[in-house]
Amino acid sequence: MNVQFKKGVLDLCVLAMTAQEDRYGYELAVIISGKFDIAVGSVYPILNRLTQEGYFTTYLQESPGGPPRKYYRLSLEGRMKLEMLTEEWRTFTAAVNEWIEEGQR
Amino acid sequence: MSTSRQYLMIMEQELREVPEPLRREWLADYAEHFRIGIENGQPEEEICRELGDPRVIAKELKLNNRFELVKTNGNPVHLVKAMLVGTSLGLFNLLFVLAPFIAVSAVLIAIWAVVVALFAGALYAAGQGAFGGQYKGLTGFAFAFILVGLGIIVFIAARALTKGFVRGTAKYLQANRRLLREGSSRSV
Repeated sequence: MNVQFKKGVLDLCVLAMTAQEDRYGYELAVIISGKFDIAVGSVYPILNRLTQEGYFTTYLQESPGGPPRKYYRLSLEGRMKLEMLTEEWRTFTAAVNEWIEEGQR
Repeated sequence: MSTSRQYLMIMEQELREVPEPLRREWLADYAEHFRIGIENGQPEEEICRELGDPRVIAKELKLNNRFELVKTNGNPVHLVKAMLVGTSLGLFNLLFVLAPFIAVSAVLIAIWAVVVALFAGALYAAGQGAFGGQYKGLTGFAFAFILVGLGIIVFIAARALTKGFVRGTAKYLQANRRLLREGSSRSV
C-alpha cells in the first residue's frame, strides 16, 4: 500500500479496532503491523501518543494463567475523534471512487 | 543472556534521559509484548525482528514525546530539538520541511525586531523627555508612552504568532513523518 495513504489511516484503524472491545497492546501491534507492513515496535509509540492525546484510557487486567496485561479503552474524546476521522475517510474515498469510475467508463 | 533481555536493555540504555515514570511505562509495553509472544510460542529472535531496531524504536518514542511537549508549551527551543532528532532519524524530507520553516521563522524574527525597536524607541524618547533634546518634557514622555503601547501590542501579537507557528509545525511534522518498515530500521 502507498505510504502516504498509510500514515493518514493508522490512527483511524487503531481507534476503529478498539471501538467494539477493549484490546491489549500485543493484539493491536501484531494486527496493525501485519496489515500495514510497519514494524511491530512502531505501533506502541502510536498507542502511547493516542493515550497522551486523551483518546485512550488504559488499565491492567489479569490474563488467564499469566501476569496482567495493559488494555486500551476508547475514551469519549476517542470516540469523537474516530467519528471525525471516519467521516473524513468516507468523504475522501467517495471522491476517489467517483474519479476511478469516471475513468473506467 | 536471552535475546529479549538484550533487546530491552538496549532500549533502556537509549531511553536513559527519559524521566522515570514514563520510561518504565514504555519499557513495560515491550516487556509485555515479549511475554505474550513467548506465551504464544513465538521464538524470541522472531519477536525481536518483528519489533524492529530497539534504538530506532526508542528514538521514535522520544520524538513522539517531544512533539507532545511542543504542542502543549509552544516552545521554539523544544521544537528545534525535536526537528533535529527527527532529521537524524531520516524521518523528514529536509527540503520540504526546512525551507518553509526558515522562511516563516525569518518573518517572525522580523516581527520580534519591530518589538525591540519600539521599546528602544520608547526608551530614547523618554530619555529626551527627561534630559531635553529634540522632544522636550511632556512631548518626549508622550512619545515614549505611545511607543510602549505599540510595543506591547506587537509583542502580544508576536508571541501568539510564534506559539501558533511552533504548535502548527509540531503537528505538521508529526503527521508527515515517515514510518518504519517492518523488521528493519529502513524507513519508507
